[in-house]
Amino acid sequence: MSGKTEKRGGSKVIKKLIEMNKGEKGRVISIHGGRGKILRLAEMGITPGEEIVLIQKSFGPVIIRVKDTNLALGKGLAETILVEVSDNGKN
Amino acid sequence: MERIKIRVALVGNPNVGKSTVFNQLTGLNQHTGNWPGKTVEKKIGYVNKDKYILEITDLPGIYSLTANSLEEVISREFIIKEKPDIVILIVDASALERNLYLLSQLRELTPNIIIGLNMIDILKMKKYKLDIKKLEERLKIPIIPTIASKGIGLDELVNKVIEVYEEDNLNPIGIHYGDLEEDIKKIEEILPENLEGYPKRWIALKLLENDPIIIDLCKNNLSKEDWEKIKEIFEKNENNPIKVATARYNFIKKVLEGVLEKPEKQAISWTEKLDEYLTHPFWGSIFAILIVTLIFYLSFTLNDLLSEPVDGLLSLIGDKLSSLLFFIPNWWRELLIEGVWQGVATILSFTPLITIFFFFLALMEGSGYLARLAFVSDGLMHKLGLHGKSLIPLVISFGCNVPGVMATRTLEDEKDRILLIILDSFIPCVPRILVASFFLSILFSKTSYFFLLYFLIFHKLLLYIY
Repeated sequence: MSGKTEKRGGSKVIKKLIEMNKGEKGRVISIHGGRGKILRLAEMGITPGEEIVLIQKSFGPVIIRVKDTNLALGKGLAETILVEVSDNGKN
Repeated sequence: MERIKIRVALVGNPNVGKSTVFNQLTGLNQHTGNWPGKTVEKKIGYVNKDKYILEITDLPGIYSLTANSLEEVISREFIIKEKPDIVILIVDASALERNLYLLSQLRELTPNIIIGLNMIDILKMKKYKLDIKKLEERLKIPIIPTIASKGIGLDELVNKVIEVYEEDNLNPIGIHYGDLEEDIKKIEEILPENLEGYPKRWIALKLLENDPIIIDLCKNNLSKEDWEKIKEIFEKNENNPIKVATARYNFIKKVLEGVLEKPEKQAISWTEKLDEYLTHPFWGSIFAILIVTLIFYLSFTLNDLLSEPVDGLLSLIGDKLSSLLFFIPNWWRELLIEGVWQGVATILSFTPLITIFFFFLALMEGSGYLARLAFVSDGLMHKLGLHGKSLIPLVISFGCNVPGVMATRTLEDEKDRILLIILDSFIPCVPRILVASFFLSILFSKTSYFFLLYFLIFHKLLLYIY
């Protein structure tokens, strides 16, 4: 990303977790999927309103930090989570 | 002297040092590792202290007590059915919020909980401030700070178990599930007494969480009317499972408020810096290939060094046996030596290679690198139609198919698991490669030998791509 980016209070971007960039911070808005999947994620601490940071991206899976722990999520799961990105981690 | 037996269960998330606590306490040699499914076998150890003997059962590492995996079901069944006197919950002090989620579930099953607050050194390193005394007061659960890797706090843990066992006065704080409480109460009223020993409140919560095992249990044990009534209550709102989970996390948040303080800017540890490279899509892949190649190279070269003395020793034993058995008829002796002993010796001659290979595997596992490997290889494995976790069982299968097949239990989905089990058994394991290479070296020239060997190993994998 180039130079100065929008400050806080600027328009916030909503994207899929899988589309987040490395280092970006955001808040989970919603999770789409079956009950089992949603409960599993909820138990891992990924619930709507929770703050997450994208730590690493690979060919498919991502690593996020949530509640002080790094978690690896497969592509399939990462696609079902919508995040409101609040901080691109560069400032 | 008659000793008093205290039955203790050890519970905790994966990666919190639970196995380390177990090993340090009991001195039993046990495998310490990184991925779920590891301690699925029941591990029991004993601690002698004064007139007491603690029988400690190491339960598998779990995140929750739902029916998500075999490990979770095993753990909760153990706590409910075997009713241990004390449950020690080992938590990672530097990830309390997540770790206490398990406590919130455990609390519904038993009041006899002690917390082993492990890795408090990491807490300091991360510059977190934790008021242990206050946390203890809020949870109404005894907390013993420990650093299991250095053996710190473990004596205190044992003492606390004995103290709690003798006084038997634990009554930890319960969790309030907000507007779900009404439904919980309604379900509790319909449920019969003593349904396979499960606490009523716990069953009600599990129904609200849509736990398949508990749903089946109720369906089979309740009268049709009662079941219909209960079903109506818990199926009323499809968000119930999330509400339950959220209520638990909210409870934890409230407990930790003013107890745990985190610094504004979190310090980056050296493992995180290393992780940046190990999980990097480019550098991580390069590193993965290097590591796997290195392990195979080292396994085979070290085996070359060891195999000759081992073979020498084995044939020496054969000769000695043969001369010791001089008194039996020739044909009989030859059957024993050339047949039975040779057969055993051939198998024994594989020992160096398997030992070396498993040593490296344990190293990868213990250091946590296998988990990184699974992350890096996930994309490739998906192209093969396999789950990202498949690489670990596949790699293990090269050593031996048996643990490879056993390792497939880390895959949650049954279809994925069965596919991998079938695939695993077609991977030529090290002994099979040795037998194959033996024939190849006889039948083919030295240069074509390596190509053929590689073909032998990988052609089946290639077959599976299509």
